Amino acid sequence: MPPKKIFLSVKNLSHAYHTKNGETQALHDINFDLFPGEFAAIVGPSGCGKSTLLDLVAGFIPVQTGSLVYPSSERPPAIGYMLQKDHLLEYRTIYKNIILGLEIQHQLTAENIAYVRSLMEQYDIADFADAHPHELSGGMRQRAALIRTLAGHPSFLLLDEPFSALDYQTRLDVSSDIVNIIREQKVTALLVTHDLSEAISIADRIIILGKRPGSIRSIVTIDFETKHRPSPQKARLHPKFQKYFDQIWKELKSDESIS
Amino acid sequence: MRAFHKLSQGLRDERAKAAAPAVPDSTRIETTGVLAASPAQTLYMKKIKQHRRLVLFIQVFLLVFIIAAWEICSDVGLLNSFIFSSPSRMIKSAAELYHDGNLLGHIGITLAETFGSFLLVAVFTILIAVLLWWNQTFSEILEPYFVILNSLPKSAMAPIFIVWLGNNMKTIIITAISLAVFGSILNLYTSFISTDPDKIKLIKTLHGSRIDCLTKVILPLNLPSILSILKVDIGLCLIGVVIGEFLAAKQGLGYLIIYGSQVLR
Repeated sequence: MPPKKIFLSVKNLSHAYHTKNGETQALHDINFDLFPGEFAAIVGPSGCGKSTLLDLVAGFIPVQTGSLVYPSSERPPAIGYMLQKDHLLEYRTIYKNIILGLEIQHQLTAENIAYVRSLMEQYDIADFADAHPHELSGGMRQRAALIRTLAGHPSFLLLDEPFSALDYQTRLDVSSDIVNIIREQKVTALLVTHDLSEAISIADRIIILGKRPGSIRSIVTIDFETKHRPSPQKARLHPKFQKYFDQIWKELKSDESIS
Repeated sequence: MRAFHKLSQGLRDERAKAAAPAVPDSTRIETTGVLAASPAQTLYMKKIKQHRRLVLFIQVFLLVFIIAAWEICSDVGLLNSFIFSSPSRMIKSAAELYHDGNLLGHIGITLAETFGSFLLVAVFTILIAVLLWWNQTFSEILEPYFVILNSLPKSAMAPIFIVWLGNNMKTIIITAISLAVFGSILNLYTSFISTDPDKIKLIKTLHGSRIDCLTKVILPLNLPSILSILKVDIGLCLIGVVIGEFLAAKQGLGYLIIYGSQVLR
């Protein structure tokens, strides 16, 4: 088998925050590779630097030590980023919210608008184009937020606990929904979550971070040994689910940092 | 407050109108849970209307009641009408002033000065608050200055403005602006910097610049505070203009008040 193509290579990444009270080491010597089209998740206790890692990858904060390399492409890919909440702006209609990114990029071409419209059609919020965010359910809002992210044709999606603001029942539905969309779009995705079962049900691989300063404990490949990856809800019922859960739980526990 | 209520009501009505044509099919109605015109909805709308009518009625009634009570009290001698005046005496002297004192001219001048200074205050407030938000160092340097300028007693400054600018309308407008602008800037700046940081991050995630943050998030999100600050400003401008007219005018309501009080003396 030829070596797998690498999409993103993270090498020796360390990061420290400086405040008046001193220096805080947030990340220490992070190394991992992402493969094209893969859905990876980062889990770890709160304060382990998960979000910092995502912000570094997104380029929101400059890299201090180490490197982020995209070996198979000449330019860094178009990155889409999903926040914890949908942050739809109440003074804009759903359609206007969705094209916000295109508007900012001055990319409101007929082609892009048609693409957005087709995504809205495909994911059942076309009827709500002229509605305001408060008229939509939590799941529909999250879908609108995802389409807003997809409108810029990203090939790399970063998800910062995008479901954590939803209640449990909605979260199961919405995460399945969103994950299906992301898999359909065939992008590479990196999800940050503190919810272990969410990570196992969604991701192809799980990167486990230990407590501060965050460093990688281990990387676990999730394989349900089925032809197609089961949907997150089905995955939760799969016999191997509990096995993975226990394995990763132990890994995190050994850190003595899970409360 | 009432005006604001009406405004927001108006906005809601408009929004409802805008949304109305987009609800033709029944699936849409089901999914949003909005029933277009069921009896219960009609009843609800009727109740809202009734409530608004009641509020308006009591407001008008209160006004009429206070004026009537004042008039009656001064007629029967409960109030000394020489000191407390009475509505009828006010109307009479307003009519006299109107005939031989050019009352409308005085009102017009005061209003023009008020609106002029208000417009300048609005422009300065928004511009400077945006500048302070834009550059953190800038705001760190300037904030204490604005606090001090805001706490200066402006009515005491007015005579100094006369020395600097002359006995004219410039002094009046500057007095009004100085009264309103510093507090407004501080308030608006505070409101700008307390905007949800995640909304700004959202703009970042969509690869937007700081100017996008300003136009897409900061200004529209803070529109309610901008409006409420401006509402306070128009009152402050009127106070400033009248203070200015007390000292440096030959026209306007402030001038009339000083003139009247000197006659009384």
